[in-house]
Amino acid sequence: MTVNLNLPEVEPRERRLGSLISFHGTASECYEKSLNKGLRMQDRSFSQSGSCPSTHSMNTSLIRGAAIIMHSPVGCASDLISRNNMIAVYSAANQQPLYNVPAICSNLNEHDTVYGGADKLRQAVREAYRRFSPKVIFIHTSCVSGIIGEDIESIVDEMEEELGIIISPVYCEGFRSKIWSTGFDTTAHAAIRKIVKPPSQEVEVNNIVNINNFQGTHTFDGLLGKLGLVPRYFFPFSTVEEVEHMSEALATAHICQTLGTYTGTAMEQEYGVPEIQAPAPYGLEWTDQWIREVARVTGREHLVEQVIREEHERIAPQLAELRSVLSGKVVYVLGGDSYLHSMVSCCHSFGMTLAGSIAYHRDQIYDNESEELNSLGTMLHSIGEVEKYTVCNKQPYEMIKLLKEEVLDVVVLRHQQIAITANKLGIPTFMVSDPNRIVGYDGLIYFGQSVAEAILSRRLVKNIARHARFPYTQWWMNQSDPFYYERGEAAAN
Amino acid sequence: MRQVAIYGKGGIGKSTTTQNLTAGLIELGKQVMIVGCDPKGDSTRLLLNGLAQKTVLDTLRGVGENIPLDSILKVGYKGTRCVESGGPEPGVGCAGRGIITAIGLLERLGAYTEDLDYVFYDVLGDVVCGGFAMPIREGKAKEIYIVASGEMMALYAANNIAKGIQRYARKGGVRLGGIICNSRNVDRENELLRAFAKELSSQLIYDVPRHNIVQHAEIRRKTVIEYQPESSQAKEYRQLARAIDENTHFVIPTPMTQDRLEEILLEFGLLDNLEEYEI
Repeated sequence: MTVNLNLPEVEPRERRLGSLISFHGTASECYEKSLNKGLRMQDRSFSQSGSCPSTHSMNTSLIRGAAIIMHSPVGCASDLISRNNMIAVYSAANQQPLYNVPAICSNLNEHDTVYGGADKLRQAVREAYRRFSPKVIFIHTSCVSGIIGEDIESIVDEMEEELGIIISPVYCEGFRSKIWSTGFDTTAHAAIRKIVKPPSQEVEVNNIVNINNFQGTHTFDGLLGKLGLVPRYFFPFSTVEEVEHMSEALATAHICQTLGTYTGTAMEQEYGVPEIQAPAPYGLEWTDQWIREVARVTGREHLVEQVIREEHERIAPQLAELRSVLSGKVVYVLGGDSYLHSMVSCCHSFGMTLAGSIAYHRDQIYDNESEELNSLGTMLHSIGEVEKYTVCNKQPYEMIKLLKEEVLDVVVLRHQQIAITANKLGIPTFMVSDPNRIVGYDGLIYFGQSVAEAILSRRLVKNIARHARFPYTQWWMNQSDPFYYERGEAAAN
Repeated sequence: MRQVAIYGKGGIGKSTTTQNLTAGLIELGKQVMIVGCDPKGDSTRLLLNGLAQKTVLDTLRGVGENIPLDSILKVGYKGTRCVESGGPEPGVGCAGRGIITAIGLLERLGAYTEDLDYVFYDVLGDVVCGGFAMPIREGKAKEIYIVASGEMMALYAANNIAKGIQRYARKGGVRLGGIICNSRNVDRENELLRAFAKELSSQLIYDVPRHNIVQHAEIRRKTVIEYQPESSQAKEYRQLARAIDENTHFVIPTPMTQDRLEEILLEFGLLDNLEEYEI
């Protein structure tokens, strides 16, 4: 499968990858039926919560040297606040000055909806140029600009000529996709399409590996450093210059297939930068496999076995201690598609017992259709069957019924809104807030320690559960089928 | 107050019919307001003897919302109140949303006064999006007439409009009051439209014959009733006005399938004509 960087818009995941927001069955059933995109998008007749692809496209705002325009009603831009939070965390961790997200919202209102918002958009671009002196301005579209058919392309051309900088449109109308991860692809598409340059002939020493990640935390430095490699983290907190030079890297890797295969495929297809085709480096075995593949692709095979041996020896005492605590502990794992499988891999490394798992969506295929990157297949082959395998786009009403069926020691998950849901049921949780933190060998130890600590909080969460109230009716609490609202084939656009 | 929307295929004569009908109602002593819901802004020119000076949306764009009602509501032929919603420049923004904005503003400015007997909405031919369905949603127009002729595309459009009415009729109180034939002098036109209206569970409320005087009046920016009050065509429009004023037959339409529509057309329409020209 190829990605098309000539088109300004990304094809939504439903169409490109056959993505799903609901499924229940076994992991092998999900895997086998997915092989030929055989599962049809099913919807729910009741949706309690959701997430908008537009929110997930806003990582453009974290590229240093870039500014973004939200061409939208101001409400859509409220999600930028979460980027300020990420900036605060990153700046504190890296002893860098705090700054505000360089963004302007054109604030489309009723008037602009009727007459078009082109003048406001031009004004916003000029203001962003004056205020932030950016090298690149990303123009993010919205449902409103999409419905009124705003002519973004013409304005992009016009403003590029006027200001002499790159203007890159990010087409991320929320209504285009039920899969919020489509937003990740729009970021990658807009950055690669307009910013990345062909590799320079003058690069002499090359030891760079592109790492596609969320939060820029430097957790790959130590691991790759042992092979004499230097990671560059994309896209949050990378610089415009680093994005320009992505084409010169030895390889592209990622923390999660769901996030990274669009970038990996694009870089391989357009510039011949190989994509690392191995499971993401989470858990002992998968980290071994990943680092071996990185070494093979970058010509460092002669170093890698010793590195693996030394790393295993180094963490062995802590690993053994944590295994004695965690082995046999019953866990339920929840997270976004591939990252779910990575967290399962970590649990497996400690001998934990998996009661079930919930993926926040499912991509039936990946942009780079390599079997090695199909993390569900890798999980099945290297870890085994998951009898209770559910795909649910974060509907707490459904999730609480699945979790209540089990006697659990701990829940491991992503996304804070869902973490509190498990706590309200009296189950200790470990929420992986920064996916980079549990990468590699050191990350695995951190993961084990965090889960062990979480289990110690069981009395606290039991107390929370005694006082917590869910907003559901008795009818729903007594309803035997957790998938009661799952029905019908949704139009896959 | 009866709020009436007039729909029909583009170019079928909705504006001409509505304005002449309005002139007829004025003669019956009724108070009437016309709201033109077409970006072209030409729904009231015969009553105003020229294009409205400024549409609602042009005024909003230029001056803003703090405007007196009389800056957008013009008084025309014998006290008819005329408003044009207007629209953005072609190819820009959203004309449908513009209709919603314009009607909202009219309400806020108090255009819908108690003394009105009729408000007519003259809507763009093709109901391309939700904005153009605005007059029949949200409890505005409760009564709809479709202008049609004995041509296939006119009936095709009329049937589609009936589908839209049916959708909103289930939720709100909107009803189809009948089909107005604006004759094109097609063979068996009257019979065809009667059959078509019956199939929709409605009626052919009036058949307006074709007459060149309509063109002559239009060139002079007048309704026929104003231009030549004694002409036979003026009488026809007066009778149309009376038919609508006395109408009590309001239905939820039963639109037909494409196949059924074509069956009716074959039964009454074009094939006979073709055969006549066979050598």
